[in-house]
Amino acid sequence: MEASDTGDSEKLQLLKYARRHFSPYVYFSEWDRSHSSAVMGMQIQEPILDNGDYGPTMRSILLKNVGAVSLDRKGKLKGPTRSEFAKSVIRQHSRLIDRSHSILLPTIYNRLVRVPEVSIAMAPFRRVIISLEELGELDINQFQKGMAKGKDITRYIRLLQDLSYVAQEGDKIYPGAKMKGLKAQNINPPELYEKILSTVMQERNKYLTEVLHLTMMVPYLRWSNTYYLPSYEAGRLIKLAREEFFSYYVWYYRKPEKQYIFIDQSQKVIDTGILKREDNLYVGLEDIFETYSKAADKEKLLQLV
Amino acid sequence: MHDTKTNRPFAEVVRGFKFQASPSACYTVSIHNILEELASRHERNDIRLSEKRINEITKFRDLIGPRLEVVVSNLRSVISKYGYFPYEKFNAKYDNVLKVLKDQECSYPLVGLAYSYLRRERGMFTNDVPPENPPDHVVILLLLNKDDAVLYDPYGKFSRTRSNDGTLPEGVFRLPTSRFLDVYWHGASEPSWFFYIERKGGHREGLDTYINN
Repeated sequence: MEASDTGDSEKLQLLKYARRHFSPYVYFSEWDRSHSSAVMGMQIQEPILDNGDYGPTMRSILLKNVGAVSLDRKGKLKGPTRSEFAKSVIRQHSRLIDRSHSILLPTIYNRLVRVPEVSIAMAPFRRVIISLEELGELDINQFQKGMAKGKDITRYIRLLQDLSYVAQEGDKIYPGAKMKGLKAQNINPPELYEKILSTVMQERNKYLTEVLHLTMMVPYLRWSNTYYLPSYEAGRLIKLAREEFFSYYVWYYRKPEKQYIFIDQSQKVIDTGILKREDNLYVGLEDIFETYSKAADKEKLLQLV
Repeated sequence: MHDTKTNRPFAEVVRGFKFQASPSACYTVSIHNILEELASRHERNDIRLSEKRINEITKFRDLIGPRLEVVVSNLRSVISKYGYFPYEKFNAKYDNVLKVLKDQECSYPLVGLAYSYLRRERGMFTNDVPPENPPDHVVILLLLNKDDAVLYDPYGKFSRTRSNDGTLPEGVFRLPTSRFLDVYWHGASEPSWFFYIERKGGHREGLDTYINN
């Protein structure tokens, strides 16, 4: 590319420097000619593996701001160290994956609660809801006695109360407005529990993971995202062989695990109906894909990084 | 159709070549591939380097790839003791790269191709808006004459068309020389760049001297 004037020539010179020093995939998302400075972007090239009719291809994601670089008056270059640059790229790429989590979660909560580990972690909530549904009222002190040592049921009750699923009067709790509302819509067990538990997971995710330390849903959310994010990038439901599926997980999360853990976790994602297996290939579900894709379009998942 | 350097069938030349394991590894895996070929052709096991070792040498990191400015100097410090030297050339010409391609003392050359090559020839990134001055892609040049350029693309397996010619092995592609030269090689962000490794004996004047003069 020919430089049309001094400004462009400086820009190209700086870009060449940035590419040789930081990464061949740097581009400039902004260029300030008067200060000879640039905002560096990064093109992340993502392989789209697919054993379907369309076959594999590549997509790219542009991270728009991973650092600034400039030339001072003496022509000396100023910018981050390469380690700082690398960290910034990884951080931003992870942010994209996190945003995808937030977009995907509402679509799959009701299925995630069926994973045995998640179901066990959510058991105190389930016990409160089932008992209330059966008995109409509960004595908190009596209920606490039946809990495992060290598990404070009041935290779970308070959270359900906060979401209006239960109402408290003195030491007793009763079905709250939202639970009555679900019953009025003729939503009965087990759908009733699944609906309430998925709302709890969706609306109080931070509290569950950071305060109650209920993190067991995380790997299953990751497995789901490992499939649906590249499918969204491809614009279709891709078909992945086991090794491809596993390599995506490592590519996104940089967490190489033992293969039997991968097999166990990914199988549970299939058991819950988030994914399915066809001819030994991992394939997604049309309804999840549609809902997730629409939300991702709306949030401009791939553009506003 | 055989390669320019050794007049072997392409399948034989690329037998030990690997595809890139990660999207930012086109340069580093290509170095691995040409070193493998050179080591077996020159019967010099000592210049073989694992991909892991090449990644260390080139300061390769996930997502961002190698640190280009140190590749030649760091690699030189590792293989020069065996009499092998890496070089990279900028703004080179058809004759320069052809000379390296024909020379038995040299590896196959790596060339940097414009991003448009990936879009038009490989069908990649066709739904994406490319960044300004998009990055180049490194491939191995196997044959060059006035009509054809044949190359090994380490991205081969991600291509919708695994090969553009039924007679060529996986990862090997043929282009008209005019398009290769003007559009993709000269049209790259780093125009007409190439890289190669050369064995230098005691009395032999290096090709490097020829190219620089």
